[in-house]
Amino acid sequence: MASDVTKETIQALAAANGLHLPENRLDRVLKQYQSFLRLTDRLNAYDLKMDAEPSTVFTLTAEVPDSPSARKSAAAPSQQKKGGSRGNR
Amino acid sequence: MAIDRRHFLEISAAAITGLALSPASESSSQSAPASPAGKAAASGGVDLVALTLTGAAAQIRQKQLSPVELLDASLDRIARLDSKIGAFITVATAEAREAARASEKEIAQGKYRGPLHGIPVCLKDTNYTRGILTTAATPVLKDFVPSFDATIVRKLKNAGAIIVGKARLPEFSFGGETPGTHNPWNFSRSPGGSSGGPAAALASSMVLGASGGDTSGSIRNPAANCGVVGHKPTFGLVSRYGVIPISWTLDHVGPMARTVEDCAILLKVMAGYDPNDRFSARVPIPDYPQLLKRNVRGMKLGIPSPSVLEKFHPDSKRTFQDAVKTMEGLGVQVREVKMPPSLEVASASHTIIRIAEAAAYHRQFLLTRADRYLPDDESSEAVTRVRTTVEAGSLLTAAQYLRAQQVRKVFIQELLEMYSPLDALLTPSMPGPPGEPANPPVTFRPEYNLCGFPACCIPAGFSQSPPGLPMGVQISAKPFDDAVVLALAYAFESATEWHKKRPNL
Repeated sequence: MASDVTKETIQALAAANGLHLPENRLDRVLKQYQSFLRLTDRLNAYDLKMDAEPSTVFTLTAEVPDSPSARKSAAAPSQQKKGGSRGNR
Repeated sequence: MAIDRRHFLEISAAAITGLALSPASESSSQSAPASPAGKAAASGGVDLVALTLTGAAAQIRQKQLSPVELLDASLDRIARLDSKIGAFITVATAEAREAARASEKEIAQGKYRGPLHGIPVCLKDTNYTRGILTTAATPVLKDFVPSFDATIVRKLKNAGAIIVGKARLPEFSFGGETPGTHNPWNFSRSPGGSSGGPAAALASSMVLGASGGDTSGSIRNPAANCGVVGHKPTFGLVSRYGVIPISWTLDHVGPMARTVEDCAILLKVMAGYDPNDRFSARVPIPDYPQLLKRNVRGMKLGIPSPSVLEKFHPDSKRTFQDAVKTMEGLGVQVREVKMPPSLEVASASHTIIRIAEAAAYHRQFLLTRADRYLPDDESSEAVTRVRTTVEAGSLLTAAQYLRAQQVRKVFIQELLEMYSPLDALLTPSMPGPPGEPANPPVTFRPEYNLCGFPACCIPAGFSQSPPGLPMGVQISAKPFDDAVVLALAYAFESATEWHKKRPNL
């Protein structure tokens, strides 16, 4: 929980990550980190399927169905190429 | 007002023979004026307030308007107004003059490149510009002069655009405000951010086009606040190569202008596959300007239910409702749609992804020059500067980042289903007028960086409380339906007069 995190936690996490946080910065970083944890708490509480895969490599174009409207909007007759991929992978 | 053709041909002839056309006082890249420059002399009668990019392009093509005269008008306006507005970090006077003279010469020789040829534009100061300072408004990069142009800059230059300067943003593009830049409609108000400099430069008629960056709404927010048009393209449509990032999977680059048609012209040039951008999409690029004028009658436009907009400012709700009526008047079929369940956590997912990726980018700066970031604002607990944000972001775990990416995938899938029976979705641009408090849980801005769908903000009215501040609406659609978004935006714009309003400067 966000409220359980202390300045000591921040220092330890930073050290584990190879960062040095001076004492005079710990209060602000702690507050910011706690605000992030409140968001991760919300994400953790969200009901996700066990096998939900992350978009670790964000390939929007690969996830888009080849919809008629998408084809229509991209249809520039003089420029359209046959067999073109709808996106990189 | 156009200069006459004889004058332009005389200028053109002088350019061809290498005669000096402009005052010899030009210098290399220089900082924007720090003190009032006084009202500049008129520049051959060129009225930048009345001109659009499209209109100027037509006059240039017909040799009724000289690119040098047009640039002079732009530089004069910057000199006269930017001490009050603060849109620019760097004005590239010498480089712009050289480019304008070259454009004029080419056009006189019949080598017209297209509608950006000779058009003065500005770039957000995250875009790498060869030989011109690129600071991202941070002391960390205060001396950074790139050795190459960002892909978007190269494309604009190849199309003949004249790069007038580098526009202001908050440090490293972090945030929805632009410190140092004032809203041309009301100097006491923010232009929004992070592309606040480009938006303010457009609204004050200093330039006719601009590039913006959008990771959480940073094209659309200032476009709405300043009464101009801002289009966040589909993720992958416009290369980010050579643009200082916030977050690799959320960053978008796109056009800003005063009209939808101007934006479409810019987008056509900016878009296209770039092997240097790992996420660049290999898709055909439509002729966006040509597709603007398609008939929108019968198009299916979704809108959120009133409960979703409950915490929006009354002016945002009124503007939105008026826009719905305008769309209905155009024959568009409007219907309420149910928002996807994951929308409630989309913003949280966006924030975690954004800051985790930003922390990875900033790691080297944190290790080597952390003391150069702007200091935290000790007077305000609410203001957190970039250094603190990325330090805290560095402490997030891989599992937390991946959880956010899991949610993101669900969100995209649910959104695709919601858009499936629709051509587009209409929402307010901003929760409220610039500077007015309104904090609804869903704003329809970062959510579109998370999903990558195209979204365009267009002027749609003015606030009543307080009066006179620009308001807008956003049109979004399925991935790569940018042409549909722009066609609906163009139809709306054609049925209204909001885009013709200018601040009294």
